Amino acid sequence: MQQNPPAAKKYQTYDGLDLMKAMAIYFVLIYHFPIMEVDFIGTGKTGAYSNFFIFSIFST
Amino acid sequence: MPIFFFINGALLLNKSGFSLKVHVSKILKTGILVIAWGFITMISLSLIYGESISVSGIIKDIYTLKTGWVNHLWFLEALVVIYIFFPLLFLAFKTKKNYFYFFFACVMILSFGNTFLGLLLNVASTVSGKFLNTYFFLNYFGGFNAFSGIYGFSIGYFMLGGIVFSMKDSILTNRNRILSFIAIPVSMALLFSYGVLISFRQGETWDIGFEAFDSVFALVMVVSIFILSMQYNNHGLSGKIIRHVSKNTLGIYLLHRIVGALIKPFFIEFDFFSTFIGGMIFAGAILFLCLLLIYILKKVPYFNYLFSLKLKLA
Repeated sequence: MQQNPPAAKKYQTYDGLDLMKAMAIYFVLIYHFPIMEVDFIGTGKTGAYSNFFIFSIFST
Repeated sequence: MPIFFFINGALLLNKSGFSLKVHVSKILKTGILVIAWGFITMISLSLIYGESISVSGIIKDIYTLKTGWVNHLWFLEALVVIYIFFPLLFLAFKTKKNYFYFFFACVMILSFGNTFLGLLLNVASTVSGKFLNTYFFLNYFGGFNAFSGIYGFSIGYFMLGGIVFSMKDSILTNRNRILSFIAIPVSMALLFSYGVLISFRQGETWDIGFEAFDSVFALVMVVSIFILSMQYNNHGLSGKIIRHVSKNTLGIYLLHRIVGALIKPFFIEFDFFSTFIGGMIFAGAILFLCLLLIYILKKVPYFNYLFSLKLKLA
């Protein structure tokens, strides 16, 4: 019996690139709405340093 | 944001074909989206913030990309600049690799190299205690810098994405995964150290996101994230969520300022949301609401045109 060939995908997708895009948009949202304290100069809070460190990944 | 330029380059430069007609329509559509979303965002935020604004004021604010309101639309402006160069870049990438690499080297030297020079001078002036450099964003190449004032780094990420993706079979090795795993925290630590130093020097906390887009640290992190991400296989519920978010990143990006401004007053009432975990949950809430709005708005005739760079939708 002849089998139908598998339907070709219209667009090639890459799971890794999907993951990168999802991460990137999440980074943007945290970076644009920083309700956590990052301003260690203005507030002098020690906790702001750790937030500032994590914020460095949002340069990506 | 650099990740988006990188992925854009990875996919577009490695496409098999190119249509100038489709490409020009994409450029036009991107320009139209800046104006359309400029108006939508300005009107929405003026209603949320209770500020009255005139039509001429809105036009001026869109033109100047008013900070905190519509300045995030710079991303679309940068995309248009890349797309203007794209036909030549695509041709060179496919047929004249040497020409492509020459242009790439110029972009990298004049954008990332320029910023790296500023970084070295800032550190040197701080360590020596002598006045050498005052500001991070100086253009040290003067009139020779072809990429000053046009987000030149975005072209660099775009081209790098194309190069790295075309070499993925040789790059995605276990050795490089280990190196990437180490490179990310090391780059974060170096960028953090520089950020603290420069913050104290200028007397206010440095913007470690936007102002570091064209730093070598961000560059290393983007490539490292690519190398680590490419071994990911989508499956299960988390896979479906990631795929769904990934398919709607443009819409989320265009809506997030409005949604964030709308719900922020409710969240800042609680101390918990001033912690990092709280901030992550808040960002998750914005993400979810944006997805919900996109789902609803795409069902309204013509509204789906606002969430895509394509001129004609299927």
